[in-house]
Amino acid sequence: VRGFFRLIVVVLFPVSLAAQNLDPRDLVRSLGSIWPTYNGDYSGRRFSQLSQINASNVQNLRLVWTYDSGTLPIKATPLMVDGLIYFSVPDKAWAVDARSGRLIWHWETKTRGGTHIGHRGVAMYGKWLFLVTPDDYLVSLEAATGKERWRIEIADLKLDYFSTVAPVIIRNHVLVSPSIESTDNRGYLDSYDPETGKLQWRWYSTPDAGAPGAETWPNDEARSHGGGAIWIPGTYDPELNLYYFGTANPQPVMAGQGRLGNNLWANSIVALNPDTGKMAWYYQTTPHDTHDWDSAETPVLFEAELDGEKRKLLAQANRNGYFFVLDRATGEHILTSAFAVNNWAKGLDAKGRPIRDVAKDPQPAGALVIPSEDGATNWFPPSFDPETGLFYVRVTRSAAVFYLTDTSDKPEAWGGIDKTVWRGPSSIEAIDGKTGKIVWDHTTGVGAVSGILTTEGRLLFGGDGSGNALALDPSTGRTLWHVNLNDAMFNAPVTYEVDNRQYLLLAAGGKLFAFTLPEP
Amino acid sequence: LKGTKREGLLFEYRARGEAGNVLSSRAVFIPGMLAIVILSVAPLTAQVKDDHNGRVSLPANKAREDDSLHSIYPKLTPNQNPAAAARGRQLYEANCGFCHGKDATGGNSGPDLLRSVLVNHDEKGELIEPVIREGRVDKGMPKFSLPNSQVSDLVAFLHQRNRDARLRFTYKIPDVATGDAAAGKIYFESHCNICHSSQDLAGIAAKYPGDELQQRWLDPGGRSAEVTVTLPSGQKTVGTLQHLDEFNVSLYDAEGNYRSFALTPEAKVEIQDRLDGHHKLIGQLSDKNMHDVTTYLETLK
Repeated sequence: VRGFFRLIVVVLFPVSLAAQNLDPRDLVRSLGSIWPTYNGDYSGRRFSQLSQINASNVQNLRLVWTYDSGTLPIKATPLMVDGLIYFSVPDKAWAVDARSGRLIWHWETKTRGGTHIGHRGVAMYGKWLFLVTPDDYLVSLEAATGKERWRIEIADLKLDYFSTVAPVIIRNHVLVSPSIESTDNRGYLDSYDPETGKLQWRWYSTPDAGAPGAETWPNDEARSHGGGAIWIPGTYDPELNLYYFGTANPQPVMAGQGRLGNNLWANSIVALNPDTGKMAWYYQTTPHDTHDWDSAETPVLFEAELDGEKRKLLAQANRNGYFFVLDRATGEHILTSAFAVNNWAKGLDAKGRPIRDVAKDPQPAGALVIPSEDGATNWFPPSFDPETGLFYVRVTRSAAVFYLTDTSDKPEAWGGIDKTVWRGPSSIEAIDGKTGKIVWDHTTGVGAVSGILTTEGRLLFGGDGSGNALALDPSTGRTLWHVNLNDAMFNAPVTYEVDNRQYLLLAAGGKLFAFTLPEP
Repeated sequence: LKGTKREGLLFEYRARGEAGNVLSSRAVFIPGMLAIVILSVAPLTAQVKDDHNGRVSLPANKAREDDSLHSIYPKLTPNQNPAAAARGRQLYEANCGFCHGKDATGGNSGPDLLRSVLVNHDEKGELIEPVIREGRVDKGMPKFSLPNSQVSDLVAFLHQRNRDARLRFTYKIPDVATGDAAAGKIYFESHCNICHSSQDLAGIAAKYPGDELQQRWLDPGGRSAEVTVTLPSGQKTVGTLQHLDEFNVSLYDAEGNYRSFALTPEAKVEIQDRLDGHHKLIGQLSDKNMHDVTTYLETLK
């Protein structure tokens, strides 16, 4: 009788038996039935091994539930673990049932301030969630109930730091970083203990006084307020035990005359040891940036054979319009190629870095620059499909006149402003990871900002600027399916599996939409 | 992102002229469309553009600006009383500028007050006032005995200065008419005269001051494209383009009727945008051309 009763319980309450729990070791696996971290897995590829939904049946997808958060556009990548979906916007988080979209809990906090511009999502460790707030708290919630466990301050709100990033968990490290918009601060990455919230280490985005790299700043004042915020969750190679992330622009943003030099480690791809916070290597993508072209975009990890040798590589499609491939063990530069037209660089230097045309720095009467401050891409998650060997990126096209408004020797904050004079069509572009060559480009109209998902089902999911969600053939870019959700997709699609059914989860505006195939 | 605001934006679109051809890429998948007419659609973004990292730009309209500002920056330091801040600046320049720099960005002996932790933590003078009154004698800053009203004026100046530095849409763009008006006239007459003349632009400099004139001539904005949709039957519909994406096209015809069509591989869509000339220039203009033309247009008062 007992056994029979247990069976009934299993059938009726399958979720309640699978407690909300995530072993950090699950994060090391390739992306499959769960979506346990910002990029799905540590590689940043956003390539799912699920293939129930595939190129032959994608036309049959049907909507199975929606959830309206009634709030701002969802820019967060939702997580899905043990039957619950977790997502967030600034100051708010939700858990909804992955099968039905039914609300399980909602958490909300009263803000002390801070820039409310976006939120990339939550992280999970054991039975706890972690998220940051615009007013610079790192908050831990109980995943099953949304009950707040503790909160700690990670930055000084009064200095205009604010927080948007999704934390990344590596073993017992919670990696988080505050953002900087205008006030001249120094960027940093922190590691916190997931149990106690105690700071384990802090890495600053500009060197300490007298340390290597400090010579790329004219003085200590400029160096110690030099920006380089870390906006986007990074990626991780467990074998090399290196965490990879990009840093944003130096401060002041557009007026560079008070910070002459290359301004390390702003606008760089950085590799560091997550146990110690010690930097292993860096590669600067835009020396002395004056256009706000953060190097924050996801560094995607993949393997490829180059000259007969299997290499561990890292690729980033950068806001400055260039695609970079590096050896991720050493930081050695492999290739740089332009994936969008620009008029600010005069070519590449010996290390593959674009050479800036100083005439295209912001000028008092204006300099016409392609692209605008928005860049050729931005935070939109890219994807890499190991079967096609292609890197997929959301490309945006624009031109702006950049004005230098502060011509003093010591400009502050922005010191300049750009005015957009042309917005061209966005697209989803496929770039060969080994050669940097553009293989196809699928135009998506002005204004599309969605990221990308690829799957073992030979599908690529993304969105256009008209509220359409798209499924494309990852080899050719041909459209296979679309649905108009009539709102902008601000994040990337995700996929997961429960009860042996694969779900496609899209966010448009403040709503979630879940699709599956018809029941067999 | 409420419906009405978004719908407003839906009527906005930009054509891809030859600048677009230069700037964008190949192999585009839009069935049935002529290669020359790949065109944009309205961005589905909120009136406050926040679709990239922490970069906020705000609409010109004042009421919307205030709403937008507070939705993005709740608890933002408010504007100070302008008279107090102006008096504060004079007091600052007379008493403090020598050490802290004329714009409070630091000098030879005094630190930058915009980056100062103390100034940033101050709300209403409670931290700044003791420093003014007591000085920092060990660091070489003397005591200042100023009446309360002057201390509060100084506090107002520092907070306003900080706010203005932070909010870049308050930045003033300096003179943009720095080019050669004669060279600008020649450029204008050889590139713009197909559609424009100095007569039809008479008074434009008075209408749009400074940088707004430069912005306007580079990107006049507005709806400007006429579309012709040809169905497989040969039936043609002409109108003002309302929307175009990979799957549908829509327009308002001459009678003001809304018409929309599915984009099948057999349907043809041709677009003529009267702003093509402007879009084309973006990919061609040198900065000298731009400054010269702006300087020439500045003479059309």
